Amino acid sequence: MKKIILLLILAASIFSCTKDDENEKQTKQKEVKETFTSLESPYLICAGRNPGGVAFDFIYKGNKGGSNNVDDIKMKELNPDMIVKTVKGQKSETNKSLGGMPSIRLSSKAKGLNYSAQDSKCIGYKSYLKIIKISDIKLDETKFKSDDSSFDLTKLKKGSSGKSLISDIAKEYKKLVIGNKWLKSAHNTIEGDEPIWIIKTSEGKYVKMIVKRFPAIIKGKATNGYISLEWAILEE
Amino acid sequence: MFFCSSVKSQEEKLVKADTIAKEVRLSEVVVSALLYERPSLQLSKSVSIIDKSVVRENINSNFIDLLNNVAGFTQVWEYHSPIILRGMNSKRLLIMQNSCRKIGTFPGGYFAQDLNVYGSNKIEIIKGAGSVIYGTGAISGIINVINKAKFGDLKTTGKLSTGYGTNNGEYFGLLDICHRSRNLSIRLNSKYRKTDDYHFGGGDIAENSSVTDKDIGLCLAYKLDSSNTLFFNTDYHYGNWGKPRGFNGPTKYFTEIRNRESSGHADIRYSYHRGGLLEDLSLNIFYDTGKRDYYKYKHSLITGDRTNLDLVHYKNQYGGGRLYSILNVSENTKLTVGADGYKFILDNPSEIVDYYNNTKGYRDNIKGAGQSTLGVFLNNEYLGLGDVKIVGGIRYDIAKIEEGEENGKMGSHRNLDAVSGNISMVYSLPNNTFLSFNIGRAFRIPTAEELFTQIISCKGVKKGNPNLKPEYGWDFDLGYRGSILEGRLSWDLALFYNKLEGYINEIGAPKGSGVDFTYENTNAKILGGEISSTYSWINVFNSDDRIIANGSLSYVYGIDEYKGDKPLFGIPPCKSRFSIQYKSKQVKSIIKCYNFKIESLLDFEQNRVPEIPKDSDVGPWGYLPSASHMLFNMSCGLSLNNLLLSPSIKLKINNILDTEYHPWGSYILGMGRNIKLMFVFKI
Repeated sequence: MKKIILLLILAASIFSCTKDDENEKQTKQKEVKETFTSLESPYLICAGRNPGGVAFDFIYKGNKGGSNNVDDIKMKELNPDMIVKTVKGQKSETNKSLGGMPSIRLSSKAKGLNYSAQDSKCIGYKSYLKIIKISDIKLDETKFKSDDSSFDLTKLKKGSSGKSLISDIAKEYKKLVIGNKWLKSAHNTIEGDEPIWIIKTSEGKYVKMIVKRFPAIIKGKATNGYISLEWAILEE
Repeated sequence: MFFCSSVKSQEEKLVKADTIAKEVRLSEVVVSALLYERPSLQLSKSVSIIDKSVVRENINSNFIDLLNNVAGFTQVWEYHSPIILRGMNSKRLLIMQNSCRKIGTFPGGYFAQDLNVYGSNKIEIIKGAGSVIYGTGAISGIINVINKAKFGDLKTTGKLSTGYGTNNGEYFGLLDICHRSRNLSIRLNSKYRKTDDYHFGGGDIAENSSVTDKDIGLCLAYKLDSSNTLFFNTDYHYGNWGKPRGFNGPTKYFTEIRNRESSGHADIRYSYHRGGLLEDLSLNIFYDTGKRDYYKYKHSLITGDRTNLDLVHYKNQYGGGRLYSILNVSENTKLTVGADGYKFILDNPSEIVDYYNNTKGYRDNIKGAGQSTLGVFLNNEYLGLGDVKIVGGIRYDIAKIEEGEENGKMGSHRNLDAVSGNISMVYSLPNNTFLSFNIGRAFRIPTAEELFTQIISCKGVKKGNPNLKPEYGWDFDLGYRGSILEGRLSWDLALFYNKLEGYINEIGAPKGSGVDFTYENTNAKILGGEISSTYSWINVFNSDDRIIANGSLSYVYGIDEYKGDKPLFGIPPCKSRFSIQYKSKQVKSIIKCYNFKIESLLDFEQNRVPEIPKDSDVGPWGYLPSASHMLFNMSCGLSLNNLLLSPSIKLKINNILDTEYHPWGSYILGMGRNIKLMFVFKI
């Protein structure tokens, strides 16, 4: 009888339905502490690791602002001028593998301008460093533009992977002032072809911005998902 | 569980004295080397045998944990680790169950995490080229896990075992029931094991390392008459396990990988054994099927929340068989003639979940990718030269590797063929010592993944090369082994040199191709050796006790000849093991027998590691130098007489000092102190 009981106990333990709870983890909550914190220079913009991207508020309460991770906003009155973010897209109808599509979007109250496009000699990081004051460049207010208000990725047709097609996303990105127009020059190995962007903040201040390299170099190695971006407020 | 329990007669005792006390036996009959029984000492290659009693003595958790005790093997991680023999990992090492090849769904080969080590009777390991008998993949050696029902006098026995491990809250239960008679034999075994996350040395938790295993196996054997026997084996495995976060490098900590898998195996074998000209005729057929759901979660580094899931549903099926006969052509000539083959196919549809944007999709990926081979072989053993035995064999294989179907479009395929061979000599010296020399040419057919597939792995985007050819290993083995002083001293010295021609190597792809890696046939060399030895002092304190000292040392050196003589990937450091054990039995006392053992494991530093390929994220293992470290383990056991269910108790403490160490090749630390307790009851 004892043998039968022992056997039954073991059989029950072997075939018991253990709950596979390893795959059902809960989300974590963190305390909010007001400070500019993001993975700074290079900024992490990976769709998997930082899906909300990084928000930049260049002027915060009248002073030089900073950046925050969108998914973990620490600043109570953050009013982003610009957001850097990556979404994933399906390569084509037939090729269902996914690719990352990083972009830079402006807020509805901010405007931007590709200054290098109007002054072809003012391009690259060396030129960027020379721009200190507004008077160092010739700004034409009429050239500043906002992102097209019709920009919307959510309405794009989804592929079978659940993601929009990269070609459709790229088409939508064309509605953005900056969008992914920095990508090619930041990705290639040609030195000095990176455009300089001037952004007019919601407060009316002018900010210069450049994307130096993507993927960014961290500890001597190109690291996917990171972007080297620099900005500064132009002196009046 | 203990050595004394199986000793019945004086004759058996003498035989056991040589073997059973050892962690890994050096002298016993082996079947896997030549397909018929031969004493291991008289073979031309180094052999290790792991008996099922050793698995229980060590309270092993899984296959790699068990093999790590054998000279020449290296473990990188717990549970799911590449199995590395002589610097070659799972792709170049053939693992079999009852002589039927096992094939995994991982690009790195078969890792054997789904094998129930408690279900085997013994495990035979033959180091060196083994392609003549077993075909593709047997370059560094073969491992044959044998689950076999045995005949005997009418008897039904059973063992119920349960245990606990402190490091990871491991609970396990084992059941083993055997019924045997002269014509029929049945063995049923099952295992349940569940662990929490384990702790590294020093106390930190290895997040996402929990494991659940459920196994059940059945072995049947039926003797139709004195010459004809049928064997049937089947087993089922379910597993749910994770890779510890950060195993693929600190920059990949945001990924979390879990696998939920189930697999089934069945094999049937007919054996005709009579003697005379046709000594043996054997036919076996096997079929394996498996599913593995591979969950690759990504976490936000900002919030810690899960953001994405790539879920791949791997589904594989494979089967095959072998027919061979053993012919006594003359008094001194034994000829083995046979043919074998297998077919493997794999589907890998996947789902993509974006928790952040709340989208879900799927990808068909590839259907029916895989390979099939068919080979014929001939192996001859000649004993007519006095003290010299000569064994020679040759084999021819054809293979078809198929890309499979993607998006409704049938991919391409390649037909390849390979010739392998072996010639060896064993010279019998006086006093039961032997000198052996072996030259073998083993081969490996490239897989569908290496030829055709583009995969995104921990290393980056890897694309196959459809022009790959088979790789060959020219293996030269020199052995000196023996068992003297009535079996109290035994040793096995094995030196090898393996020249790998057409070594299928991962190389960086051209810039701008959108691919990080591809494959190329290159050349490499691996050389090294192992020495293992055991010495027993008998009747130390009383007439039925002994002290057994066991030691081993292994060393491997690898050269990648692609773009200069650089360190080859996957070459482990020099390793040494030493143990000393006291065993005693006291038949008249309530304590039937007991033992005590301490062991040390020393890994030397390894600075000869390959360079990290430029502009790529480093792979999950093998690129980091490792520091020297030494671990200490101890175990003791007690078996009781005249009590209900004849209980036995076993205690094992691994990493006694809770040492923080990096196992060679691993980004993460090794497991910390683990106190394991096991109770065994006879039912």
